[in-house]
Amino acid sequence: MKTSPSNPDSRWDELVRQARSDCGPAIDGPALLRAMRQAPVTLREDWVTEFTALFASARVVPACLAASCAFAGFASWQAWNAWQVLPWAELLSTATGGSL
Amino acid sequence: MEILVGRHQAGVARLLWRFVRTKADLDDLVQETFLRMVRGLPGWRAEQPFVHWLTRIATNTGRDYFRRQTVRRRWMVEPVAADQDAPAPEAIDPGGDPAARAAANEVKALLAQLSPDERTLLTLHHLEGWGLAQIAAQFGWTLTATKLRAWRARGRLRALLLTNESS
Repeated sequence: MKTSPSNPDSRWDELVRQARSDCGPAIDGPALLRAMRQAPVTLREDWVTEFTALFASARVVPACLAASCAFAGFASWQAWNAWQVLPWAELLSTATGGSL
Repeated sequence: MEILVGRHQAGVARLLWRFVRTKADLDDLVQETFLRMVRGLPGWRAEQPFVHWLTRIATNTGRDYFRRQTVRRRWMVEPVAADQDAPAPEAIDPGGDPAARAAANEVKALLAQLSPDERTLLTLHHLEGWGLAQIAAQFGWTLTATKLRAWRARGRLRALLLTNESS
């Protein structure tokens, strides 16, 4: 492996040629398999599955009840507002002779 | 899973041995590669050859190892030599060709003085015999940038070799 000191390229090429034939030690296969067994495998589901999971049977009834309550509350609030405003509107309409 | 590991562990270990110098580091990197494989399995597309995908994970693991080493060396309070991770004499695998192992250790010690990307590039190019186009495709670099990086790395390496020979 003695090469000319003035030619680093040839020395490098010789080193690389020898280094390529180097084989690594055997790895610890059982330890690797043990680590693999402990690793959690998380499979990502497609969007259809995730979307339908939102409407799973266990959630449908509570979701419908909650939505119905929310709608009833909102509608009642709007009706109450209209009930408060309507007499004033009628009074205003009468006072102005129906021009509004 | 065990079939996959059993089928590919030798190839992955052979590739990653180019990146490390001790058996402990090799075991760590092989394990890290397969753990990344497990985590990334849902994202693997069947039209892509599995071996290519796994090789990409392994080379990225090797490059991350080089980056960690560089960061650790930079933030050490005491100056640490680039070849501080050299294997202890008792840890050297008795099997194989001692001359080849010595040459490989010398090459790795020289490459350790380069930046992580340059080190990865020259490791794959010189020790694994990969072409620059293949390396560029592996890391998503352009071929021109890869050639330029290789040319600069070879320049630094030549300077290191001259310094080592003169000292």
